[in-house]
Amino acid sequence: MPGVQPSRVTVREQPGLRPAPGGGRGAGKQVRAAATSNELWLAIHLPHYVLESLRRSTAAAQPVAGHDSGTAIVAVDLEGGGKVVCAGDAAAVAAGVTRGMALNSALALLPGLNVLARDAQAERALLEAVATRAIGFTPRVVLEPPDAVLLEVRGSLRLFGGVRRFIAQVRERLQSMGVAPLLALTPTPLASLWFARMGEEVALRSRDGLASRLARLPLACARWPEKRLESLAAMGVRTIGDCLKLPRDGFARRFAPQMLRALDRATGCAPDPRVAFVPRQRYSVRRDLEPEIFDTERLGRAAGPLVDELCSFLDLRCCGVDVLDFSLLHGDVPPTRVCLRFAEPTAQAGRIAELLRERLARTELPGPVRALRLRSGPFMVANQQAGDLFARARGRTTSVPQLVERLRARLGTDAVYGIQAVPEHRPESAWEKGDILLFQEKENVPFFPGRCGCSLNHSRSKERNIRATRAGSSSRKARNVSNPDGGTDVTCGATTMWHARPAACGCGCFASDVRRAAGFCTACSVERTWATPNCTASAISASCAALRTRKNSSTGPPCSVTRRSRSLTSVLSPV
Amino acid sequence: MSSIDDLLRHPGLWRAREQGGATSQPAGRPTGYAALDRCLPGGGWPAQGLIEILTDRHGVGELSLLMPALAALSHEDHGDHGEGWLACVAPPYQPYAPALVACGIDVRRLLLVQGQPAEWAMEQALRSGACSAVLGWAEFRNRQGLRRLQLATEQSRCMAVLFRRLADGNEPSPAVLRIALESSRKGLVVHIVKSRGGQAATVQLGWLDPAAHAVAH
Repeated sequence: MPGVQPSRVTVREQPGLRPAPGGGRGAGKQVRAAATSNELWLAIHLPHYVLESLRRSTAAAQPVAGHDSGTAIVAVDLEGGGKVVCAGDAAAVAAGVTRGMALNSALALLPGLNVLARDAQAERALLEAVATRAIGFTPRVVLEPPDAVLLEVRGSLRLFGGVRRFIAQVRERLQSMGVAPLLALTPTPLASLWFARMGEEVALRSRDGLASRLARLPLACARWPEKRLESLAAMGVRTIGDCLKLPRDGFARRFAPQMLRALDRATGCAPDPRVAFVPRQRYSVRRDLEPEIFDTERLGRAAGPLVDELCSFLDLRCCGVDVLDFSLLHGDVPPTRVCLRFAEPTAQAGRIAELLRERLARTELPGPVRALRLRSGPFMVANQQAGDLFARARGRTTSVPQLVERLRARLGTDAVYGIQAVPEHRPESAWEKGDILLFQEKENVPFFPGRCGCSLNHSRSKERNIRATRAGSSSRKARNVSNPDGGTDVTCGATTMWHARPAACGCGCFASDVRRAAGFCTACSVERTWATPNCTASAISASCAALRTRKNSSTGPPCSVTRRSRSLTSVLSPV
Repeated sequence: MSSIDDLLRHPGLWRAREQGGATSQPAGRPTGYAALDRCLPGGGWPAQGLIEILTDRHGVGELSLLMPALAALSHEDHGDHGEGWLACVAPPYQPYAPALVACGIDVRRLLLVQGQPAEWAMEQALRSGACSAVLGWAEFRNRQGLRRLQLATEQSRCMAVLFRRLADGNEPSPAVLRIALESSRKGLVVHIVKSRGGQAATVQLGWLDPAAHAVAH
């Protein structure tokens, strides 16, 4: 048995700097040249991760005022039979419930105990959520399941204003997620982790004092197998410092080589490469609601944290989403889907929440909602718009795409649109509807210069045009041919502001203005003008209907047709 | 004398006779029709506040009346692509794009909104601050809705026009300017029913030709 040699081996102050002569005798002595990396690792340890993960996934464990405030909560592991308490909240601990206690004993102590089952998926999700938040501080984040996350922060300290401020910001960010972390900062990941596990919130920037500080830690921090710890305890080895005094080869032979490696890594004598955490590429989250929610207003509030998380997730990647799919899960009826579509990729929580509220207010719930599921569409590069310094002074709060999507959320997608002029000689076809936001990218269609909108009996002129083209005539000739000696044309001057298509009449189009109105009736194939003051929309509509009736019955007088001999070249020439 | 001057300078005091005065009345937006400009305080459409146009006939020339001012707004250089937008909320018919283009309006920035409640859509457009002008055709049965709209216009710098029926002219309204339109054999007649800081008047505008009256911009 390799004896403990307390007199000869001292705890190394600078393990990375001193050379290792001849293999070393103590476990703390280095064998290889130490990694001379210049890293600083922050360990985030979540001592209450079991309950915190359950709080995130269910609303039951939330400390709601007046609802569950007095009830203590414990979690049990269903895989272990569900009979042993594996975590308890402050109220339970205060009543004497401890980890590892039989559930029956705990219930004897606290009859009104709220017992929840552990959820491994939720625990993993919590850890990933913490890591995702942490990516905002440094790109090198490492998961340390089940209850810790490691951050390499050397490069970030200066940016965030020094160690103290940095740690305060990390703590604040995590506490806003509803977790209570223990934080420790040392040059090696394992040492940080061990300190954090023991609740010692140290901040060591150099390796000088690392080994001596580590030496005081009890061996439990390393989470070695119970059997090993027992035999070490039987030898009188209770702290890391005791371990470091043991001879290396004997320690490795008697115990596991991994334990020796862990000691080397913790003290910085051996490199400790880690696999960095990569956040997910898509976002999908489900939250159970307990108790069930019946009204949409509370539902909007319950969805708030989900939206916040999504947005911080998107912020990290400088991305936005333009499609969000909310599923409201009911017990027995199929889920209600609320699909939000944005005019542009967005990552603004306020904007998403507002749109969601608007949509939920119009949604009929077939039953109580038991769970919420949020799925994002593909991530897109969001337009990172620079804020306007004088935006408030100018009273400008929202952009046009935002206005459009807010109006669409309530009135429907088709309710908001734009119009565009089309180079076309038939007045009823000289414009088109379209998506207002897409028009922005198009060039404004140059329209006929000057007074425009003249029309002729287009079916006839079209025929002539076709005939002329077939005959091989030039466009000039086509224009001449189209001179409506026998046809009709109606001038709808530039002052014709309205274009209506009354369904009852079946007219092709008409336009009206204060002086005169002109119309083309596809049903009767005639055009008419109306003089003031009869040129209102309703008057024209009625008049056209009457005209049609007369024509159908063929008893009344024929349609009065206005003939004009105005040149139509500007209309027919291609633009 | 000095005490009278102090009193006259008091912001709560409104001097009815002083139309378009440099001190009390903010300059309005030119309407493009000189005869109308002369009758309006500030020499044009009020820069802030709700404008009500009362007419029973669509197509009587109500859009032509607004076109020169709207064209000027549409082409104002805001330095920012978001502004200079016009919104038409619940128009009774389709505004005719070629005619609007001929009047000098950039129809790419014309936002058309159909559907009810129109007053809600108008308020949203006004409060967003993204639009330079909002035209709305909405019926208000209670005064609160109208009051909300007026408040929204006071907080924004956008031109807000509400089209209502002639019969609604009998009801009180918080609008800054109310005009009634009538067509006659000689053309359009504009009755100024209410004008804050101005007087009631009747203007004979004749046949409107907004393209020719375009405000120099």
